[in-house]
Amino acid sequence: VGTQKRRPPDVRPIRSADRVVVRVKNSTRERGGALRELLESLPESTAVVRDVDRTGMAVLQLPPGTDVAKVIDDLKSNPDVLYAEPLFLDYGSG
Amino acid sequence: VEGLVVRKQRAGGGERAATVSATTPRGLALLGLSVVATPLVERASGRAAVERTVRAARADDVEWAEPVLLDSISRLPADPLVSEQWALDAIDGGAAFDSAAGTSVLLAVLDSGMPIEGGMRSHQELQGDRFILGRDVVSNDDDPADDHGHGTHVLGIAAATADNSAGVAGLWQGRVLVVKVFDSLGAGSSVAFADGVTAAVEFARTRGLRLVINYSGGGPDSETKKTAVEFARANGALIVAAAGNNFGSPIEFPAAYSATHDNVVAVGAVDRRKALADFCNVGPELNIVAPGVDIISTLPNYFVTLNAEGKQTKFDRMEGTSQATPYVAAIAALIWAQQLALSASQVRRKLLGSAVALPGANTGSGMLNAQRALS
Repeated sequence: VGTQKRRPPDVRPIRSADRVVVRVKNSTRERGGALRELLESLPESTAVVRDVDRTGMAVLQLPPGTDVAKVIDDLKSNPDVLYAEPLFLDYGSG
Repeated sequence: VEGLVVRKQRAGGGERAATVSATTPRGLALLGLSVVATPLVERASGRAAVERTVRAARADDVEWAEPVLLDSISRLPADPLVSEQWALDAIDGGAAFDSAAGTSVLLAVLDSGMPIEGGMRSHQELQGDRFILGRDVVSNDDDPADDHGHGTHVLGIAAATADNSAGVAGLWQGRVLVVKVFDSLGAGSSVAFADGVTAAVEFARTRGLRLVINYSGGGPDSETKKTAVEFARANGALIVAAAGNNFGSPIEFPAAYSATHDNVVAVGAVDRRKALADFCNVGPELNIVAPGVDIISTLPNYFVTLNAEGKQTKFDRMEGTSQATPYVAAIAALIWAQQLALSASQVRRKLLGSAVALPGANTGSGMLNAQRALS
């Protein structure tokens, strides 16, 4: 039997409701250009809020009310995209 | 001991009384052993002098001879709160303070940062150039000031200055890179983790350092996190990560990559009785356990989020797999400092191979043991 503790159930969100992560493929194309083209295919006012150049990942902020799952599916079907997924959230474990 | 040799006489041989030192203990005599003074040998230090001493003590009637070797008892530092750090005894932590950290291994702590005020390190236990201010990937700058408190607690467990007549003692007295990946609410993300990992790897790679990454956080599986773990693996870095605190839920990621990536160590938490803490997540990915209940360590010397939740400034107790993880990461760094030629997976193997098995399930290889890991 381990230490008895009383903690409320963890109800913190595990993913962002309006942000997605996309990583474009390494190719001969200039990465910034590929990202700009991706943005043109997404809902208007979608913005790159974080471009982690050294990892090739970008975080996109979607406009309110956007169907996030559909955006991810659309991104995945793009041949320039290595992967797209929700922005998953982590928390300290202490 | 300089000038003294212990030797065993062959059966039937007579010991020349004049050479037997008065320091021969009665117990040794009962074993047929004697301590012999060797006055003809030059009293000098070093291996050559030892070899000359032993050679001089050998004779036809002697079965074997060897120098009188000094043993010592590992001691814990004298910091005033060490007596409350029950974990140090539980992991035979004295060995860590006898082991040199050197300058070739870097421990990167990816968390909520460290106490910084006005650009200066502001906690008495976390002072000096060995605490390197790395990236704040939350604000995207180079000021990883802790505005939550979690990171400072983790940092103190791993690396608080020992023997400075203040507070607690951390196991690792070497260089630490502080990277802020959790915000003021203690939240991070897959991208913050990846950003922090790559920042730490690049820092270590450009300086030719071995790298142990402590990540006392977790969340869902993601391509982003997996990519970062693989980037760390390709660059020879070891990631020590918390199993998570969701009361027996599956192990969180990145810790759960331990099943598929040999550069990841998944850490669970035990209490003073070495029983798995009931908040600890469980699963086959869990590799090792360490103390994670009632752990006293550092907190920022200014008001942060955890103070609003009842924690004191400067020092207080916390619990979680977050607290267990830095014990393991610090010992991993010390193993590496002892043997720089090891790979990350070899350090992991030594860490797990030296753990002490615990009864019951869900503790992986068992309890972290510094003495065994560093001997």
